[in-house]
Amino acid sequence: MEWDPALLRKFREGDPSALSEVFRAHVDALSRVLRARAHQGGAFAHVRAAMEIENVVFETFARAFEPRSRGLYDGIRPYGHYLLGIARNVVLEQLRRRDLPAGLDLEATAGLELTLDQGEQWHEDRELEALLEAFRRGLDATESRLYELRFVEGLAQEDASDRLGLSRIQLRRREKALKQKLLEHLHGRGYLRDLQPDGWGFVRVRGEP
Amino acid sequence: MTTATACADRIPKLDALFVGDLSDQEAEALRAHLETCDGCRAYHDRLWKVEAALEKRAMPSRAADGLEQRLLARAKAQAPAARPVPWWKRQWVLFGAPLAAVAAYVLVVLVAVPPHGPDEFTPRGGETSPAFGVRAFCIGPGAAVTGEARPGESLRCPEGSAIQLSVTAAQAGRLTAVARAPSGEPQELAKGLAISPGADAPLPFSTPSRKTWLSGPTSLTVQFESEDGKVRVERELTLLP
Repeated sequence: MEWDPALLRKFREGDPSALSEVFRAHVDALSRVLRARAHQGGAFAHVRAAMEIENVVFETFARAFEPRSRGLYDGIRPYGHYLLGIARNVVLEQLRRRDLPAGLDLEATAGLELTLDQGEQWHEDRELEALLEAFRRGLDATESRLYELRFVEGLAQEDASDRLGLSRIQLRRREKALKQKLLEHLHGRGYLRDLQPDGWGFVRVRGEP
Repeated sequence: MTTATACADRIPKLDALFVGDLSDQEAEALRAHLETCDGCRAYHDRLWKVEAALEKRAMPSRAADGLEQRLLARAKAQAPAARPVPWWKRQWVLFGAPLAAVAAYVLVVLVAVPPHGPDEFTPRGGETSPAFGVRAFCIGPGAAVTGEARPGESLRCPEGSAIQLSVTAAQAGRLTAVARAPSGEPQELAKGLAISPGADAPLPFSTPSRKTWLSGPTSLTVQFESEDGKVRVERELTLLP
């Protein structure tokens, strides 16, 4: 992401469009690192559950977007690294607050890289890919085309609706139907049974660690 | 590792969230439930990861959009309050008042006003305690500010919304905010939170409005204590569900 003087000025002023631009440019990379680090264990081990990832991402950006933090950013240092530094502090504070041992290798967390771990997460991703591929093979031609444009080519709804000759509303309706079908596929495959909770709840079952 | 089961009555809601059929308000209520239910959280987790894999993202765009809205609402609440126009820029000075009158005024002020005491700010109205103020905002599910109240006033904040406090303090200290309903447990919105001197600074977090503690008119007491313990100020307002 390029930080031109106009963007930096608007960002420092707290202009919502600039904040949105910065958030969108970095949210996925930050989430990717958190998920990868969670699967490597250590201090980030608890950030596996969706809610935990969302909480850490929110708190990280909230701190980065505080007026004082915005004013201090120079537009030169890589913003992704800056966010990772904040995320690391957020995770450490969470561990302290919840009174859990960190088991933390500070050196290891200082050098967070924007890469995916080839461990447990790799297997989880492959399992999901296989499920989605099986689902895709069962679609009819129209559904398959929609799936292709939206989720393989990654087109925005607006572009996909143009390509299919549909209105945005029609496309949204068909996409919802497609997701409903995917949901049935997941239920049929037992993907939503025998769930193992990750992360923390406020309620702890007696006898559980 | 133990396995968990999602609540039967929440599964349709969780499915609707995945499909994109849940309103912002329902999604917020569901989110509150997820914080306390292992089974539903695990179910939501699976669907969240499917959605992310489907979009080839690390976080589903739906979830990212929700976070973006919350962040923008927070940034808006943190925007510094408009500064008052300095007296030398006011219309009457620029265009009306003769210079001699200003000079006379300054002279009178210099003679009549005693030097400043140790406090940088003092409140209007003859109070002797240092300035301390609090405002409470209700942030709706769509990240919009739906209400505002000052001490002595009432703030309506229904379930699914969040209460955000904003504080003005002349000196550093600690803040405690406790909501006490006529019946039920007190709810701490903040306890011993470190406050820096400043005007209209929002607390770094908000508190979700829940029926468990906000089911009727509830008194919110906000207490400020200076670092040296010499100053203690209390403000009170009423929260309504």
